[in-house]
Amino acid sequence: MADLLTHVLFAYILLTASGWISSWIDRRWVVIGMCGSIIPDLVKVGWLLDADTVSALLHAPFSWGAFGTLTGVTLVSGAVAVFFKPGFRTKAYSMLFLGGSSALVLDGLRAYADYYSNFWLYPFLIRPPTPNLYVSSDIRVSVFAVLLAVFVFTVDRIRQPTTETPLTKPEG
Amino acid sequence: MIRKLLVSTVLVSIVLISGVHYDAAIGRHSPYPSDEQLATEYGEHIGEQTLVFGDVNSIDRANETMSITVDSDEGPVTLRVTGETPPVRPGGVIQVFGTLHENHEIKASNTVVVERETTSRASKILLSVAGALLALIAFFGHWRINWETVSFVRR
Repeated sequence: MADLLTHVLFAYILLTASGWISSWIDRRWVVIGMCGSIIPDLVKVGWLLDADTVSALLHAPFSWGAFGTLTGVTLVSGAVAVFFKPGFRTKAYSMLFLGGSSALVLDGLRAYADYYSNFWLYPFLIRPPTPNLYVSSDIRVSVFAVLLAVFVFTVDRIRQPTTETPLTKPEG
Repeated sequence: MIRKLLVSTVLVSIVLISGVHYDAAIGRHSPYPSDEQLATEYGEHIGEQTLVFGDVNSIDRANETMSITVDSDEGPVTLRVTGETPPVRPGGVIQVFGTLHENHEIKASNTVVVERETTSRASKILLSVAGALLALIAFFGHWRINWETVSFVRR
């Protein structure tokens, strides 16, 4: 997958630009989308706790890969959204899910030697075709994401220097 | 508070359980022999196409061959790749798509260099840590934790 920094910046770029069109998304919610983009990278828990170790505990084959799929993003977004106040949960869930999905789509553009990406649409067991745009260790992707994020940040600050739209629901 | 923790735990547990199903399901739906099958029953798959991820051991550009090691639950599998020698160094990681031949040889029809050399992995880890920190700093710039209700509230 793309590195986590690129995932986070890609979510920032998409959601901030969307906020220029819709007042529903302001900076307060963009940052939640940025956190959502981390969800597929939870597969990297496997760097700390090897899947084989979990397999041995469960007495069954196991993969952390499910976190990096539509299933992982859908459920983990819910697991985090419950910690927001009831009036904000739907919006928080939407932002987390959008951020997570943006990371999945970005990973779906990654190069595979057979031109099909991985099973990121799980529970749908298909490998969508990939345009083979980049490999995960390609630093140019990260540099491009940083430059674009700086551009979007600058435009956003010019459009709206400091203020944010008020919360639409009372905070409990 | 208990209800929130319970719901959250249940949702994460479902993802963990789906990790068992995911591992089995992708194996069944993959059109290629698994790494474990290459380790234990290579001979039964000669002539089939495969996609493998492997660590590069050595490269012989003059003869257009590479030696790679594919990690599997049944132990490492060393394969000789012919037909392509992409710009990668020993220690790097590569994807090979090709046809299996006798004597653990893959005739590559396409390759993708995942990590050109060992140091690529370190830079990926560093960028990932930077990404996580950026997201968390941005988040806690706008939100804080209310420990009494165990919830995220606006700053």
